This record gives sequence, C-alpha cells and structure tokens, in this order.
Amino acid sequence: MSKVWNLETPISEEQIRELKLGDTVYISGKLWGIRDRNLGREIDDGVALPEGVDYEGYPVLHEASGYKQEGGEWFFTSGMGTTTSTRMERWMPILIERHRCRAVIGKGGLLEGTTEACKKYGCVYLSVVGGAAAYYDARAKIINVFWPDLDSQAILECEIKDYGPMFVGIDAHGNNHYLNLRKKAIDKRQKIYEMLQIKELPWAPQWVERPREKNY
Amino acid sequence: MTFPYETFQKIMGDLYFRNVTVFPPDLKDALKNAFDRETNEIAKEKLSVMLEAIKMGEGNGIPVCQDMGMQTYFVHIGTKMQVDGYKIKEAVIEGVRDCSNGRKWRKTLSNPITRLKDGEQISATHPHIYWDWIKDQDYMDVMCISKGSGSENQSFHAMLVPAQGMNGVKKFIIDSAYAAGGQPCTPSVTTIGIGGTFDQNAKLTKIAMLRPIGKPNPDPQIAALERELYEAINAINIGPMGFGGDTTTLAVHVETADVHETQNPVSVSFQCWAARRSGMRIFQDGKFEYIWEFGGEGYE
Repeated sequence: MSKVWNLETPISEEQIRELKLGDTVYISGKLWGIRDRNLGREIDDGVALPEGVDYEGYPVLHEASGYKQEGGEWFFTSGMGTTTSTRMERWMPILIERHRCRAVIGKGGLLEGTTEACKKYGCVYLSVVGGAAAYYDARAKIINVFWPDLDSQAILECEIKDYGPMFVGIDAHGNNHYLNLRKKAIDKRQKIYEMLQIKELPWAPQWVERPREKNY
Repeated sequence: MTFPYETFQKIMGDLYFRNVTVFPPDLKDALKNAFDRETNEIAKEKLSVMLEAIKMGEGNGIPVCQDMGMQTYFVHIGTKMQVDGYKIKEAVIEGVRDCSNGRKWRKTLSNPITRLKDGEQISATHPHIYWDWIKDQDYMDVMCISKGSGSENQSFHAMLVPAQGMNGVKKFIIDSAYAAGGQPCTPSVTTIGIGGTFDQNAKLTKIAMLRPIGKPNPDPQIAALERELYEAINAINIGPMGFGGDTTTLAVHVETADVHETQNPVSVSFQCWAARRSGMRIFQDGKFEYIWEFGGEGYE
C-alpha cells in the first residue's frame, strides 16, 4: 500500500530511505531549481557554485521557469514548471555524489546511473506532472537567483509549501519504476506488433549505416 | 475597405495570449474522458493535476505550461480579401513580441550555433508561418500552435523505401512510441505524416494538430489506421507522464500527401497533453471570431 508523506526540508538520509516506489510526497521548505546550463557550468566547466548555493539535504528540481524582479522581489512569470529529466541523466549521479541532495524532482524519469547514485548516497527521484506550471505555481515562490547571466537557465532558490503531489519514481534502494515499466513495455513489443500485423522484414540495403542520434 | 492593420496586430497579441492560457474544449474533453476511463490510481491523480492546471491557467490568466515552446502559424487568406501580405506577416510576428514582452514571459528562442538568446521571442525566422489561400472567401484564418520542447524533441523521421510498405511505416511508428516513452508529457496526441517530400512530410505532423483532438481523418482507410494505431500505442501502457497507466495517447492523427513512386517517408511527432492550439477568423473590416474557443466549430 503506498503511503503519503509530508516532508519538511532539510530532509535526512534516514527519512529518504523510508520512501517506497509509488509513494506520494509533498514537500515544504526550500528547493533548488537546476537545469542544463548551470549543471554544465559547474560539472563540465568546473566553475564552483556561487556562494549561498548548497544543495545538501534539499530537493533539486529540473526547472524551466520564466521569472522577473519587481521592487526587489522575484516572481515567476509563467508558473513553476519542470523540464525533462532524462536529458540531464549524465550530470545527476555526479551532482548527487558531490552535494548529497536528498531528492531530484522532474518529469520523464532518470536512468541506471542515477538509480545507483540514489542507492549509494541516499536520494530519491520524485515525478511531477510536466506542463502543469499553473498548478504548481500556487505552491512555489522564488527567493533568489544565482548566475542570473544564464537567464532561464540560472539556479533558482525557491520556497515551497506542500509542493506536490509527487510520486517516488526511484527509491534509495536501487529500484527504478521507469526502468521496471520500460522492461514490461519491451517484453510485450512483439504483442504490439501483432496487433498491427507487423512482420519482420529484412532491412532495406544501405550503402553505409544511417547516422543515429545515439552515435553523437 | 482598408484593412485595420493596427487593430489586427493587437488581436494577434490576444490570439497568442489565449493560445497558452485557454485550452480548446475538445482537448479538455479528451483529458476528462481519459480521467474517467483510467484504472491506474497514480495515473488518475496525474490526469487530475493536468485538468486542475488548465483550470488555474484559465482562471488566473497565466500560461498552463511554463514552456512557451515554439510557435507555428498557419495563415489562410480568402481570395476576396484585400490585404497587404507583408503587413499581415509583420502583425502576426509583432503580436507574439508584444504579448511575450508585455508579460515578461520566458523566452525560448536561441541561436542554434552559439545557443545564445537575444531576449526576444521573435526573429527573422520565428514564428514560422505557413501560408495558403481560400478560394472565393472574404475572410482570413490565423491559427497558432505552440509546442514545448519535451514533446518536439520526441520527433522521428525516416525515408523508408516502397519495399518496406505500410508494414515498415507501422513498425517505425510503434518504435517511435517506444523511444519517446513518457518524455513528451504523455498522454500525447500522436501526429503522423505519411508521404510527400522530405520537408512536406514533417510539416504534415503540424497540419495534423489543426483538427479537434480525436476527430478522425475524413478518409475511412486512414481513419481505420488511426484507430488501430491508437489501440496499439495505448496497449504499451506508458501512461500519463510515463508512470504507467491506460492512457498513453489521447488520439492518433494521420495526415498524408501524395508521394514519388520510389519513396516512402514517414514522420512521427508527439504533441504533449498541453496541446495549445488557437485560431481566429478575421474579416475585411477587422471584425473577428475565435475558431475553436467559445463554441467555435474549428477549422476544417
């Protein structure tokens, strides 16, 4: 039976290890908004995080929001939204190891490397509904912006209240709901082909194998 | 009668604003139906967040999704209208700029080589506008589709050969659905182009977004293909946001174009559940009506 958790930040490793796949989570407290270019600047380019940024014990969210400053205060202009996590898989194990953030929040799921890091260092992946910025907007407030030169790719410090519902997609014990689901889906691929009477035919001859995304 | 270009630019700003804050009734119905049918508890809760987000976006006048995406316009001008095409183009583009800058919305537009942004949601190449003409009519239809990156990134194309036939086309579509998984913010609208030239083939996936969600292709043979693909993709059980469930796609829309006898191109693109689509019909005197919203019939 899945549980509903209401957590306050900072979150302890013990607490995180209690969460199970499919549990519902709401978090209140502090959250960090991260994404491609600020991850790249820190991890690929080796630039130290700005002073005041510390992910240890806090959730980080793959965010994708517009913001503005008015009268010294920051505001989201189009809600607090999440972007696709899968795209950032290569950075996440390093981030979890280096900073010991306790939850990664996003959409689309993460893969084997992150699952391993979550198990080793005590972290979970929480899935939110992408595209529902207008819904989450009422639950998040932006406090500060770091590396503002990155514009919508800056690091955001946010205050959240009952942010959720989020669902545990990767727990801290090596279980990944997305990978389980993917395996189930692949297992029935032949059945899906049969529904459409698809036959295996020899692939059309090629001069040289066509370029594929994964090769780059 | 001179066309009121200034008013037109203002209503083009409104069209873009509505595009991201007000969702078409057929999309809301499709999501509600999915919610009613869904048997997976978590999937049901995810669908309810989507419906709630639409309500809050519409109620508070804020974008439902934070990713404004990229805008694609279709402008179809009646041959009985007397307008300066270049001024129409400028007004459509400036409408996007006015709305985006006025509300300080997130800009998504970047240079593809340097990846830098210049802080505008418009440029010499954006938004992209497709032009067409409507014979003997005295009005003009302007339609806008905004598509975010999570879903546009899940687009697939192949130049198959005729020997691979429809068998190859169907297999490519299913393999694309597998590759996309839950990344395009499922449940998606699966838009498919079959036939045409390379560029025309990809464009068909955008044309497929111009009809109400779930409205079948008028050709019964293509409609039957849409139905069987719909059943097959949902049977994968990727579910809302890729977390498992009965609803992976809300509808499958297939568009076709006649093709060279030695070619067999196919494109598949997944449109996220936040399938933003708005349209306006504008008359010579500047009067207008929304095509989809507010009881509009939609564009045929």
